[in-house]
Amino acid sequence: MTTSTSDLEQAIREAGEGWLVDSFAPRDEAIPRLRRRIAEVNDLAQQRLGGNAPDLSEAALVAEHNRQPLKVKGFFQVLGGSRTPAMLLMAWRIIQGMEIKNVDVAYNRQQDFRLSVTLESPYGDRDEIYESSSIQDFVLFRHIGIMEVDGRPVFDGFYALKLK
Amino acid sequence: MIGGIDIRLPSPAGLKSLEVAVRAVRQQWPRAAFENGNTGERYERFSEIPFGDVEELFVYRDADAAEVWNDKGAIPEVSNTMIHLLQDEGLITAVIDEQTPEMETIINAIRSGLGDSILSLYAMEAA
Repeated sequence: MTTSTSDLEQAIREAGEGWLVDSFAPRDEAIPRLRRRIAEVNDLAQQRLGGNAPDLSEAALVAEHNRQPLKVKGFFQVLGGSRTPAMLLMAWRIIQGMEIKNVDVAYNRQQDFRLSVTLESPYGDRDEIYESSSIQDFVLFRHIGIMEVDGRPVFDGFYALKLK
Repeated sequence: MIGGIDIRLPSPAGLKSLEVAVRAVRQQWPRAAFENGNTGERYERFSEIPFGDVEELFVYRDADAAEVWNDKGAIPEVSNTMIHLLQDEGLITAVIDEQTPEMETIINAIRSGLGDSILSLYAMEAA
């Protein structure tokens, strides 16, 4: 399952997500745009989480793709859909194993949208709160797993969608 | 776990099946510790598990239970503190020591997670 690419575009294509690049207009702008978005998420992670921050630099992301491509595939998919660094960081933290403690969604048609997600660590780290007012970020919830535990609701996991 | 109970759970989730199962177990055992069933490699944290490369995983209730299993094996004191998960084509097998309400909760949570349609349905590519 492991691969050995060092290039972001190659990693995206190996993950089967070449559409991220090919469907972007203009196409030449796709990789620079994705690079900027990854850098924004990494900067935010450093600011918010300090020493506990994951390394989300482009090189680290590609290295993680080489090591665990299943984990990165879902993140690649949403890089093209969400423009909010905080929500992309939230996605990565769920992939890492943070649990979804609380979700608040407020929506009023043609007026406003607000999303707030609280993540908790099973290892005693502080809760993390991620917020957005962009309805585009609702796309992230298409990737979140659901289950029931003794009939009680649980959101957990951030999965790649199977694409046709 | 010699003579444990095998519970076979159909899964349409492919290589994601094991991750889904582990996440379900964590709901009951949030401080679970993990061990690769093929290589013996230990993972203290969920984030360390190389899903996609692992086909068998021992999920211990916590690090203390893992130590006892490692030192003393399947003694009665650690009954049902470890679940052996195996990922096969279209199937997750969970091996437990005995049926108890806690095990029933965990197995049903795995079954519920594996039934999530996002794991099996196709979406269209979108820009």
